[in-house]
Amino acid sequence: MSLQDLLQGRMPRIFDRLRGGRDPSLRLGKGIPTIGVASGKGGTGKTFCTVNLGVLLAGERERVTVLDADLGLGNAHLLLGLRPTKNLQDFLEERSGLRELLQVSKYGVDVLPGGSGISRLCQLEDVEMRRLARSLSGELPRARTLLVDSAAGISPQTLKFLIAADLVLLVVTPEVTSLTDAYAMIKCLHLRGMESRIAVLVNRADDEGQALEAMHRVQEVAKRFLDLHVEGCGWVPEDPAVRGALASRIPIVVRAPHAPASRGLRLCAQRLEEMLIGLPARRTFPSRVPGRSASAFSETGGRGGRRRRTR
Amino acid sequence: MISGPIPPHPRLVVEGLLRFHRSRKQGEAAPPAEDPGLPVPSGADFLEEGLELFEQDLVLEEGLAIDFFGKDAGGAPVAVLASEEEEQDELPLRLLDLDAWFRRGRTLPRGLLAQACPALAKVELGHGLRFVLVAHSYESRFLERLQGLDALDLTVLEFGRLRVRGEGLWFLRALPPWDGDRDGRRPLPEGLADEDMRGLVARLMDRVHEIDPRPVIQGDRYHREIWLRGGVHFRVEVDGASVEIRIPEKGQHWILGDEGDIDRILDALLRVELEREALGVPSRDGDAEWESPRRKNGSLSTRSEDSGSGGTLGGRVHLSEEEMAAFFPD
Ligand SMILES: Nc1ncnc2c1ncn2[C@@H]1O[C@H](COP(=O)(O)OP(=O)(O)OP(=O)(O)O)[C@@H](O)[C@H]1O
Ligand SMILES: [Mg+2]
Repeated sequence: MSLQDLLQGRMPRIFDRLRGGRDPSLRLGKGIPTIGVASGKGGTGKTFCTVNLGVLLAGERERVTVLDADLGLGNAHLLLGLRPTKNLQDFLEERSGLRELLQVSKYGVDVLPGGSGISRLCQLEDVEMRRLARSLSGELPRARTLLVDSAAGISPQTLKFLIAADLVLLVVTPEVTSLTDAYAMIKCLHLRGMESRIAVLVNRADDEGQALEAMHRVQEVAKRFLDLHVEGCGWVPEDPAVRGALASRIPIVVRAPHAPASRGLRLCAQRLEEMLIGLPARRTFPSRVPGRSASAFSETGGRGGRRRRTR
Repeated sequence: MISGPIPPHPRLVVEGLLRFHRSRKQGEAAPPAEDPGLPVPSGADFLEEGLELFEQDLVLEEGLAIDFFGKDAGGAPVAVLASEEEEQDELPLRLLDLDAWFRRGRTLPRGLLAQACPALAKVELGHGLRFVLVAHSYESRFLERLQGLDALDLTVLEFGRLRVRGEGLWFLRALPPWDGDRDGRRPLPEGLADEDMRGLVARLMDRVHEIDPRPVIQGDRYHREIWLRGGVHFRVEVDGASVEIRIPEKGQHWILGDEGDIDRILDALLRVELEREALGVPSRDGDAEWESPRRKNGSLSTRSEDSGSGGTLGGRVHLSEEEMAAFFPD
């Protein structure tokens, strides 16, 4: 950007473009509530949480789709025991439609597999993102919720996916570096004008005290420095049963529903359900949470949202 | 680097790769910039791990030639045939002729062959001829015909171009089912005689396919190096009737004893895979590109910016002293 560009007023236009959130054609899964799962630091348990929350959010008729946006080393399918032969790379290179990619699992969750190997090099262009967004809403009519499992870190690619979501769920671990990295991610999204809601889930905590302290720290710093309300989505304990579930390729909430991690995940899923009801895209769906009425719907919708998004 | 829509002939691609590979082997780190027009897939090894080509345009008899001839990691003779789509009509016949020639050659005295053609002295003719086909693309009709030639040992490579942050990059990939790993010939070291252990290693490899259906495998009679998804690396070592599995990166190793070990090894491999860099972002322990904010004095930056190519959504996130301090209350 040269000074001349600035003087000629190109800056604001370019700035608008950078704020991908403003461009409705870049939103993923129109009509389907979309949750972007992110972290700053890698390995916090994004994929683990995405898949298991997906299983819990899936209903009897309606299904949850996990879009594995880790174009480098997507592995969401591994946790469900799926063996895809194609991945998003095939879609992006127009060798395959989205529906052909869709891996249907036994657990109510379908996966659009991410890339591997060579595809890590790819940058998603806006046109490709638009095509993906169109196909997501056109080709997946049964999807009730879209969960986007993103790659770790603040890459342009990941930001693009997150900005296209209705809700960003940050999965953090209690270590301070995970918290600062998550905050850096929040700040980055905020600076880019993202207006979607942001929630934090603390994974791998030793106990509730540690989890809440971590969560409050992120919330507090975001409030103080960015005047941003970050919602709490609950916590999941460190649990040795996770390992066994991973090796068996059965989601832990199915394989060991009474394990501590499964209990934590269930509470998180409930909280997420409540947040989903508040999402604009969700309004076309009747409330599905047992015992929740239309009034509860508007209550939740009004609460917590930072700013109302205009669409 | 190449630009423009017309890709070079596959022969040039192989030549370029070969040159690059040789210069790298001689310790010249830089890619041959003086070869504009020749694609060099960054980071890619030559066509196949351990493949060595030593003869170009090897004429066996009139009308029967091999574009590039050499041997693979196991010493088997390899014919690399590079073709444009238009040339693929004749390829199946040529493959059959070459295969027949080598079958006949196997029965001839070795010294005689070597005299006639020195290149043949460098390979293990007993292994039979392997073919590596290289092209930009293959007609589906041609691939159907190849399906019928299942007695041949084929590896079919396709190369293409990727856009990476606005820059073109070449890649090579093997097309299944001709990706060089048919019939599980390679996962098991031949030197392992114990039937039970063979069964156990075979089951380990079956499970490994869940992580990567097409692992890169290299080795000799008594050991195998296996790379999954281009990175995760483990080693199978045979010592008499026992087998040791190692993950060098983690310093872990197991003497393979029962099915439980397979679970443990797989779990460890999965972990390595999960921890691996995605999109250049380091694994859990962090690395130079992505230092912990404290170490980096409160300044986090994105990968794309560090590498100097401005992705539209990338950019620096700076955490102020106060912001950092808020995370470290004491
Ligand atoms: N609550 C938990 N208890 C024990 N182990 C866990 C827990 N959550 C995640 N793990 C383990 O942590 C590792 C990393 O998890 P996962 O792959 O989900 O992280 P990720 O954030 O998706 O990683 P990446 O950034 O590489 O995509 C896995 O081995 C997983 O089984
Ligand atoms: Mg992941």
